[in-house]
Amino acid sequence: MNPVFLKESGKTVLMMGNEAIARGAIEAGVDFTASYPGSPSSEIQETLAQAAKVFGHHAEWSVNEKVAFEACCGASFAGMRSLTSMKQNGLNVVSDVLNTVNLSGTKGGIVLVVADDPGGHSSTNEMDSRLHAKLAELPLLEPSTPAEAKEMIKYAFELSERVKLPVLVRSVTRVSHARGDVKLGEIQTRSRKPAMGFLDRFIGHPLVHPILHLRFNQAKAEFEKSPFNAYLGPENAETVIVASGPSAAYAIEAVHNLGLDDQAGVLKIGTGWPLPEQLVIKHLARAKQVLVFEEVDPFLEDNLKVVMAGAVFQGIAVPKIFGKRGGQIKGPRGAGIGEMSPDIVYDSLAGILGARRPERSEKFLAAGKQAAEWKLPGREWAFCAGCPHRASFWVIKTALKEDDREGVLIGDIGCYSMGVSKTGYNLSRTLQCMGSGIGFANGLGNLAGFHQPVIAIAGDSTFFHSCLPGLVNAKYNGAKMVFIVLDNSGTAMTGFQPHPGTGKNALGQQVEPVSIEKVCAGIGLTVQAVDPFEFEQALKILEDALETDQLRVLVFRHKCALIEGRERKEDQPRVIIDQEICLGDACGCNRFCSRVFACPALIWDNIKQKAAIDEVVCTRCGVCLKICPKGAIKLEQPLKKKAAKK
Amino acid sequence: MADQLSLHKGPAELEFEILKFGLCTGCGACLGLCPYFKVRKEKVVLLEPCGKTEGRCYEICPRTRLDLEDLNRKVFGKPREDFVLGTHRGIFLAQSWKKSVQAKAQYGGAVTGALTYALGKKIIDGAILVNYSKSYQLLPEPMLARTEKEILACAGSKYTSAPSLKILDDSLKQCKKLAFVGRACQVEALRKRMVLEPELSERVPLIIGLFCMWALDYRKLYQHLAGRMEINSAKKIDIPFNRFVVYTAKGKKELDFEPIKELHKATCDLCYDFTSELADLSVGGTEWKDDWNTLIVRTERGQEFAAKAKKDKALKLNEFPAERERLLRNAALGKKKRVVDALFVEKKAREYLAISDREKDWIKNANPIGGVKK
Amino acid sequence: MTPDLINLIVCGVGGQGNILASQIVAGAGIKKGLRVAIGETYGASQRGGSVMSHIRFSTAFPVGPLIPKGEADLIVGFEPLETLRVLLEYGNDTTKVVFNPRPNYPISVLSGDSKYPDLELIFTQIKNLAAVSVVVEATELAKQAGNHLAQNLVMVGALAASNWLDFSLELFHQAISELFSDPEKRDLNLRAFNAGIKGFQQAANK
Ligand SMILES: Cc1cc2nc3c(=O)[nH]c(=O)nc-3n(C[C@H](O)[C@H](O)[C@H](O)COP(=O)(O)OP(=O)(O)OC[C@H]3O[C@@H](n4cnc5c(N)ncnc54)[C@H](O)[C@@H]3O)c2cc1C
Repeated sequence: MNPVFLKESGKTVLMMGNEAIARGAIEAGVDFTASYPGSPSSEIQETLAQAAKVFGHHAEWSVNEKVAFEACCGASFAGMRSLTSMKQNGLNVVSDVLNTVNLSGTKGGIVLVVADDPGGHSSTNEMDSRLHAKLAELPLLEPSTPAEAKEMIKYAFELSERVKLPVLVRSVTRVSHARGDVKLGEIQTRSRKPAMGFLDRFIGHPLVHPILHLRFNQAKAEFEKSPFNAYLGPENAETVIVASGPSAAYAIEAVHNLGLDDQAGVLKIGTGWPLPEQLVIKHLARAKQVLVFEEVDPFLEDNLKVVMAGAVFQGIAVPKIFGKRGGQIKGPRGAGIGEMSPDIVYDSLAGILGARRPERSEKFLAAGKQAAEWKLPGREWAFCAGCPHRASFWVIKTALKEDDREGVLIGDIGCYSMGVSKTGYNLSRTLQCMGSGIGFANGLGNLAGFHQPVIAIAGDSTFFHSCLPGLVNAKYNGAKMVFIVLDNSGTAMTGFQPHPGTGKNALGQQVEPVSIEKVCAGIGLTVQAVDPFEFEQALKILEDALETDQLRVLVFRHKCALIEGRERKEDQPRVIIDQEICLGDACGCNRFCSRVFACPALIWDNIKQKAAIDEVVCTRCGVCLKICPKGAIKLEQPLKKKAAKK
Repeated sequence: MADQLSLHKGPAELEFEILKFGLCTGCGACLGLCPYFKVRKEKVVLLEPCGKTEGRCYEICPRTRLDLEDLNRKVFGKPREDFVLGTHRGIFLAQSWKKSVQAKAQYGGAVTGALTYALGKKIIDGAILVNYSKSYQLLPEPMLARTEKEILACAGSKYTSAPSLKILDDSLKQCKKLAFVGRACQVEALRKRMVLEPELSERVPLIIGLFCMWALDYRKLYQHLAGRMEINSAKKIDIPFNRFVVYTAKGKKELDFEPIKELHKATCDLCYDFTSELADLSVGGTEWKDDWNTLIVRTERGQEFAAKAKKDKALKLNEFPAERERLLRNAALGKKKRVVDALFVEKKAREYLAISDREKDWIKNANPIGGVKK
Repeated sequence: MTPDLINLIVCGVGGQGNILASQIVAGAGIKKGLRVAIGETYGASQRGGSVMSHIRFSTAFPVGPLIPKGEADLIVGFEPLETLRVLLEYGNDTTKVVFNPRPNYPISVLSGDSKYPDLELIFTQIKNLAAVSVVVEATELAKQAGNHLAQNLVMVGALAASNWLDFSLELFHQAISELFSDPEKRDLNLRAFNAGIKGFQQAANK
């Protein structure tokens, strides 16, 4: 049993940051949870969905972040505690309603967790969500470890109920996807009864803006005394490091390891917005220099500077403040760009304070040079072996070539985002945000004088998330395009969360699936569905669709290889290569399978100079049988033999 | 293998010099050899360059280089002597004996008759022909015919550039001996490939070349027709004596031929070979009697085959009237003169066609009523 | 190795089961009463990218989830190229390494755009750099134990057998049993774990 679900308290267990956030909500007796998955936030709702069976709260995967947050607001309006979680891009989707519900206020505790992805490990941007808190004038907390995240969530619910506003909690990859020891706390029993009384009205309007300011200031007053802000170090340190999020932990460790404990102190800020001004002034007023470490933008730094500028009027001397804004603290790719790391903190401290890091030994320096000569190959992302997207992109690549009118592929967000890279044959011309593909295609498909055919793609989950308005628009305004839904039966990129099309809900219960075909039929569009593994058939359907120069919707439907892998029986025949027949790198092939089709299971036998199968990687999907020009790729035994026997 | 390649160029150049310049004849030779070439609706494209700097694709393409003198020596064992009709051993008026064949055939059914005879005599066990596609109106599709019925089903000319060499390699896997029927460019490509793989010659004991002034561009033709008729019911096209007729489910529809002529492939204007000079047998119409063919016997094995077919009453072979031969020569020469003129102005023509200076001068100076070079 | 902090990196390629392995090792550490922080790179790492788990055991103060460059004490490598890459960046003269020698080729190598260095050279370099290096044929051993995918558990077994962490085998057993409620899966993983123990002992005795 996952320790997150333990009812008793006191035990210390290993937890992922996202699990700790979920546990925090459970300990706070959360009533209602809704989310749309997105790395690095997905495990929060996954955990809450599993926990729903134990604790009885509502848990759902919503079609998108905005609906999820609005659903949570609904629960809050009726006095219940609710939590939604999302990645940074998701917050942009929510942003519209966030900037009215701040005015109207809320009732039951409502917490919005946003997990930012500095460096964009799995995102198309590395946006700093904290700016949304400033924009909407909402309180924001920044945990630095999984354990603290859990405590902050509990506090966030209470704060939300006191100030009647949604509270934002900004996690980052190194909290959400970190694991650490977390002490289980007591679980509040859920006893709230949902109701909307006569006076429960939630009207967003500038007239109530003053109320927001009162609430905001109330939060600020609480933050002055918050235990999530702490100072560690000598009382009279000349150097003060202000840090938030995981950077706080990096800073504490670096100060210690560089032997600076006597000279420098660390002010850890957990209440990111609004800043506790008095606390800040207290610690910064006596410092000569201040270094600020935080993830992505100089948000904390700028706000500190504003606070200290105000302090000038109280006759307080302002110390030198080093940070990303001034360029003294650099990210891996420049100030304010990329993810923070202990090394950046180390090096900045060492640089500014003149301390020294231990040198690498001669042996390692020499080996480093050697490796540079070898040019150790990097590992680009690739579609998994057996991935239906590889087949789909192969079909699209062939179709666009054969069509020969310089057609363009407009991408979207999902595993198939990798269509911009080699594994997707560099086909996708755009990579932006959820649902943007069909939107762009609306423009291209209605552009006078533009004669290149347009294909837009979206995954099944993305289809429901935000493609419907674009599709209706295309139909209404007559945009010419082929819209392909790459349906792999789940939200694969983030770990197979169900969506309306899958016929399962967040709790794993059967529900009536929402059919993509029927939705399209409702819009007045007929849909052709085909399995992309049937190359010839899929190719013909796509090429015919392109040639109509009309709006056409296709569904390329094949289960994700990872789902299929889970369901695979062991008696599936092995894929083998007849090296006698294989042409290898000779004219007429030149490693067509391993080099061009490029499934990771198709490798190169250096000794025989022929293609080979990496059995550990191969999923036995057999799609490569169709691309070998010589028929050298085969199944070890005829497929059906065993089934026929019964 | 690589050391056999003489041109030292590969797919990137083929794409750049030929495909992108509209010089591809759609013969299909590269398609069967190599998975990097793809075709749809008769347009050949390169999926991506295979990474090799030289390859058979470039080597055997009929438009990268055509050294007729050299190929003539390789096919016939002697230098070129007849610059207008190519090396040959006889010209005949020909016709299939079978009325049933004639009924399906384009003209006299010489080709279909020869093929069914060859199949019956087990000279071949398959023929690479062209049928209409089931999926797309008026689109020819290569087909390996292995029965008399299938050969008959493929009878009739399709006037666009069916890339039937695409199925050569696949067909060789299925059959021991093949007949190939095709346009001059296809016969040239096949002969070029036989230079690389001499053993192929035995596997394809019967090469029948069709006379061909030009082939139409399928995609352009389709668009043209789609705007002028109910194209979904179109079944076949015929070009009887400078008229253009489309047969549909409902009957037939005649269209103005002049604008359609303009839809021929640009590459055909660079073609020097009206009568398929490298085939075993070349067959065309007569422009005179539409139930007869002109048949040119060229190679020794072609001659043997024709003699047997005549003896066994498969083909009627009659004497070819001298005044008709003059007209035939006129047609062939006219095409050649246009290309030779182009040789002096057009880089592309100069680059691909290698004929001797003697031949060049001869064609340039020959008067329209050309004759056998003395 | 500073006694109050141990830095361990488990590295490999997406899909090799890095996270599970790090969870087991960390779980064992928690049972020993240590504070633990793990930093993991994934997200889309199922899809063939390099994957690293930084696992940090401390007695004194809580640490962040990432190990500074050059400060790894131990490296468990699921793939030779990744092992070398991580050793070069995070290793130092006292770093100990145990790794699976079976290569997994990046797609840039499969497509011929880059070259996978000669395996023997990689092995020699790892041996040269590490204070101790042990090769465990984890994929083979996992196959014998019932499923080649369990190579991650074989490697955890090898780490346990090394005793570099000074955790008893019992702690590992508990951590594994807690993670797998399905008896079939638990048995497979325990078999693989035990195969790793043997594999390490044989390799170390060579
Ligand atoms: C594009 C084209 C242009 C032609 N131009 C002329 C011309 O200008 N003057 C002239 O005298 N004759 C021309 N012909 C030849 C003529 O149309 C007849 O094909 C030829 O005379 C044989 O007649 P037949 O009665 O023996 O035909 P059939 O017995 O009907 O046999 C014709 C054979 O040719 C094959 N075939 C049909 N279309 C094609 C194609 N596009 N590519 C390859 N093989 C094909 C068929 O499968 C069939 O086996 C042309 C043919 C084509 C295909």
